[in-house]
Amino acid sequence: MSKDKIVRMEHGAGGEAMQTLIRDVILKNITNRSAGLVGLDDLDDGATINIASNIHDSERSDEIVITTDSHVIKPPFFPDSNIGRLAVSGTVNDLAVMGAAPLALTCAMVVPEGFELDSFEKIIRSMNAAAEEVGVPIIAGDTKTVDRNGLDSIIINTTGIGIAYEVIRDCGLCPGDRIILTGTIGDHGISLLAHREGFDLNTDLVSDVAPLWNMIRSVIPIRTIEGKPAISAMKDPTRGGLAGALNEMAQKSGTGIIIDQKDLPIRGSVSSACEMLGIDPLEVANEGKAIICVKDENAEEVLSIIRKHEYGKDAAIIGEATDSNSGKVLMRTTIGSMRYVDTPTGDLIPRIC
Amino acid sequence: MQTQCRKINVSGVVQGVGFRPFVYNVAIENGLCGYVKNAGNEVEIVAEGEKEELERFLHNLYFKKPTLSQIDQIRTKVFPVSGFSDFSILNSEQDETTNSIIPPDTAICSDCLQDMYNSKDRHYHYPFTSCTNCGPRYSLVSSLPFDRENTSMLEFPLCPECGLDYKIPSDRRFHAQATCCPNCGPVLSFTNGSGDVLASGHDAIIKCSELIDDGSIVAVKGYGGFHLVCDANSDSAVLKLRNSLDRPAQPFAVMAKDVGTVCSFASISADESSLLLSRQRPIVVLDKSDDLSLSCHITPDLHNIGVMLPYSGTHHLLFDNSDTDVYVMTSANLPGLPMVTDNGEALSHLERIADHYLLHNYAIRNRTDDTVIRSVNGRMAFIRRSRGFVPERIELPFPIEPAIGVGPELNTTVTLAKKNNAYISQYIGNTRHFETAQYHKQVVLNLGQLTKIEPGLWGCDLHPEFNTTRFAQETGGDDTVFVQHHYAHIVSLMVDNLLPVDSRIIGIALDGAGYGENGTIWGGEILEATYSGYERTAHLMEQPMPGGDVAATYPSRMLLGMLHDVLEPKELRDLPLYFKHGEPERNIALDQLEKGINLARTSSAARVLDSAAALLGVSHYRSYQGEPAMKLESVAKKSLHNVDLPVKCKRGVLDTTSLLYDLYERTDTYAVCDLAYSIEDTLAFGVAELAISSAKKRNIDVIGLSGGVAYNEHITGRISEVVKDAGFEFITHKKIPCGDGGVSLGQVVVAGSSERIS
Ligand SMILES: [Fe+3]
Ligand SMILES: [Mg+2]
Ligand SMILES: [Zn+2]
Ligand SMILES: [Zn+2]
Repeated sequence: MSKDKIVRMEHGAGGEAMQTLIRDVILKNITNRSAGLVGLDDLDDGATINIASNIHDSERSDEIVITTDSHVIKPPFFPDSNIGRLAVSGTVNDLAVMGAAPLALTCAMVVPEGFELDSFEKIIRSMNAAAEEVGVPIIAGDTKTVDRNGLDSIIINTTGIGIAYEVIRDCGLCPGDRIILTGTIGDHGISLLAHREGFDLNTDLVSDVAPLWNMIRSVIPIRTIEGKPAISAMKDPTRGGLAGALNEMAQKSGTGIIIDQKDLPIRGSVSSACEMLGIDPLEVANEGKAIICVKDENAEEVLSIIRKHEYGKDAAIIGEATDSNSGKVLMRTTIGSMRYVDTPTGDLIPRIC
Repeated sequence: MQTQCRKINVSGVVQGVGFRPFVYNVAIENGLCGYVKNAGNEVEIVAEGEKEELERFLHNLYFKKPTLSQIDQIRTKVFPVSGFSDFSILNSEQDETTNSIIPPDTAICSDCLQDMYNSKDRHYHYPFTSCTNCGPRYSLVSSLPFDRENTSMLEFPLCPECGLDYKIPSDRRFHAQATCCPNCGPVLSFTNGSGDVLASGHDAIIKCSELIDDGSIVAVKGYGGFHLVCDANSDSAVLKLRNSLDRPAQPFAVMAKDVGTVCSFASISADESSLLLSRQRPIVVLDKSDDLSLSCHITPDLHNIGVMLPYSGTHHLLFDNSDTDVYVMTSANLPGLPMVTDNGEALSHLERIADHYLLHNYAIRNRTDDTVIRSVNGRMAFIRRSRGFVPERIELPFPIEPAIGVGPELNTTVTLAKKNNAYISQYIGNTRHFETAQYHKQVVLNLGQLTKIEPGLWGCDLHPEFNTTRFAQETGGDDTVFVQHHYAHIVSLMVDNLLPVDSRIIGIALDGAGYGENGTIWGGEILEATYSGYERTAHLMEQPMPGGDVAATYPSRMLLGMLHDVLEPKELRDLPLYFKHGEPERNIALDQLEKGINLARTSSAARVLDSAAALLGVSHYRSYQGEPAMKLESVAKKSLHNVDLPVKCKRGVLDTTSLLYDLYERTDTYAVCDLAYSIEDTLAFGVAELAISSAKKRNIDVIGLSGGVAYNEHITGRISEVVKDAGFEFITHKKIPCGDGGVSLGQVVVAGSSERIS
């Protein structure tokens, strides 16, 4: 199984290979990795910077949340959206799933020589529209151009700063918590693949890219009867899909997760496309969905609020956290048995004998 | 004459088979004093008497041993005389152990049947009667020694009469741990779907047979689990069962009243008949008669049918009271889950499948599915080795360290081994499913307890995503030994043939899928193998699988992959194939092949046969394991002449694309059955030639065949013929399945003979 000692595509695919790269190469070589409650080691959606004690409550302090993401997507324009909307939504969502209101974004772009100016402007306008949607200013930027031989498409990095009254982690899941998925899975990855490769899926499937802060902010204040936060953990299932995100949450939280296949929101067109391509929809990337883990008593309330939002109308409770099978994700399949949902490896390895 | 004393330790299958009473009787006959007892999983004897008597005793011990016993070793040593006044059977002793084990489940014997039919006997119409020569064993026992309190019979204290049988040395129920009667033993009850008891005892039998005759589906609790039973003559009952199980085509086994009945719907050789009647009572796969009297939905599109004869008292009584003389008898399990063994579980899991239940009230400790055997090329081949054979000892040709092989994923078994002894577990099933993976862990525990083997080395498959692989890694840690799937097949073959430790063979592994060292999926491999390693000397061409596993489920996709490079786009679009999502799926699969998106690569032999099945219109969807290739084999059976197809090999790679292309070119000219026959024949011939050329180059004179494709009689026969004609010795499996049920044995031997990892 020995492979060359070079960076491979899997190293950026959000699966086990990437986690290994991060742990064994990146974390190992960076010495100062924390500025607050959440640091680099946590490998969360973002990190926090502790500024000062909260004036209302000495036990707690507001946290500044910071996150950064480089966006490369081929092609930069895809059904119903483009890299500009993606670059803003991705960063806003990384803040949102940590419970942070976006305060400001910066944007750095690397553009290959020869990129059409019209397209470039279209991208900037889409960035603006997405930022406007959640009311976040874009306050600094950087633009570089490179030789067309060195780069064949635009790269956009966005950094976001947000503020959280109470940081929500991806490791806060407790046994008994219910798991809400805010909409259908696989729309982004499948529509993009179909568009890029020219597969005729015979549908009007489009990407789900969207900034989720407006939807998520409406459920953050919800409390249990005892006054504790209703939301115990959040994550956006981007690269690595739902399978990758749930496994990460289960491992970091030290709980098991059981989901029910019949409750998974998925469009018929996505599910048949996945069957035709031999792709597991649980491993397909999403860009406008969040996994929200909620105390059992608040689950229905949170669900109904999420469903009122346009990005959450297909939301569903897909499962719950368990005491048993710690660190693992199980799915009750539609045929009645259960199977493990594995962290995507980025490889397609047949097993049917 | 001087009195001498001997201490004798006997190991083998010596518990639960009437061994101590047998020893007692032989001792008394020879006028010896002393005792016999179970010590751990051996029998320990101390015998005093004259030298001659002692010698006669030892001779009888070996040559007159009870039917079900098996003696692996007798160790005798001189012991100080202590002046016993009689010979007695002592209670068992908990002890550290060597290598004896309890016997497998066995069909009810003729003596017990006689009692069951004798209206004067208290066992009249009592199906649970058993003796030292018969009845359930492995399925009953939870730990050693095999004493009543370590079995499910613990809850049924002996009544005075049974207690007497148990104590009289001349009785065949003397120390029979599972003996019982209507006064003290388990009872049958017949219930409706909600578990309301409608009848019990013999009335339950009468009611049950009546309802089977009327077309009901009944879940019947047996030795090692539940069966779903219905009238095999009734199309509507069989179809109802198919629908409710969601098994559109998977063959069902049947149970026939007697051999005469079997002859009415299947052809049967003398070997097959004695196998059917053997005390293990396996399912034997027989060729169907041309005028099959049974429902045609039992084994749709196959030329054969799995048949067994009654093995429990309950089975006999059911047939006695039934107008139906052939029942469908299939393991009661939901797709992917282990067979149901528990009453409560049965009522909830089989709710939508069974109309009624025939239950008994003792617990099944070890689930054991029926064993399935098929005659392949004149030999009996295990398709599934389970009830009646597990946990029999498998002799290893050389001693190994205590180790375990956890098996692959599908049809898995586990094997525990130590020194020269290996114990292969019952069939476990598909560990992809969580519940079956849990059961797998349970089997590891139980078999560990029964064999007292504590594995220090953990052999597992190379596939990184198998639950069994993960389990081995989690439990075995640094002591995990990864064993390539097909190498494990070949090692199991070498062990099965008791090849000595320094053997070197050319192994042909023809199979569905196994993770290869190079990250592709293997399955048509020629390996030069020793017990310490292997080299892949030749293989089938690696072919693209558009979408991975989905190409195994829908062979049309696999065929597109194989022909993609040699047919024009129009020809590819015109192939008469089936796709689940219709023509758009064909286009997507072709696009995938064109652009290299989501393709895996495989050299699997099964996928070649699948593709041929799709090309010839024989099978387009795999609803059960092996379906396309099995249907291809059934079609090929009808062939009258072989169509010549050329074999092309380059640098040890058999060109399967050109093989399929040549087949494609002839589809308009020849009959489907002749083409089906030809592809099997040519593939077999090509593979045999590859093996022979490897063997010649490497100066090896033994060539062997393993892997699931070896169940194909024609392919195995052809390979054997070509290999033998070229002057090589040809070996195949004897006691071990050539399919994935044998892989754990290969793993354990590789792990247990590997150097300890530091
Ligand atoms: Fe195999
Ligand atoms: Mg992120
Ligand atoms: Zn008997
Ligand atoms: Zn009794």
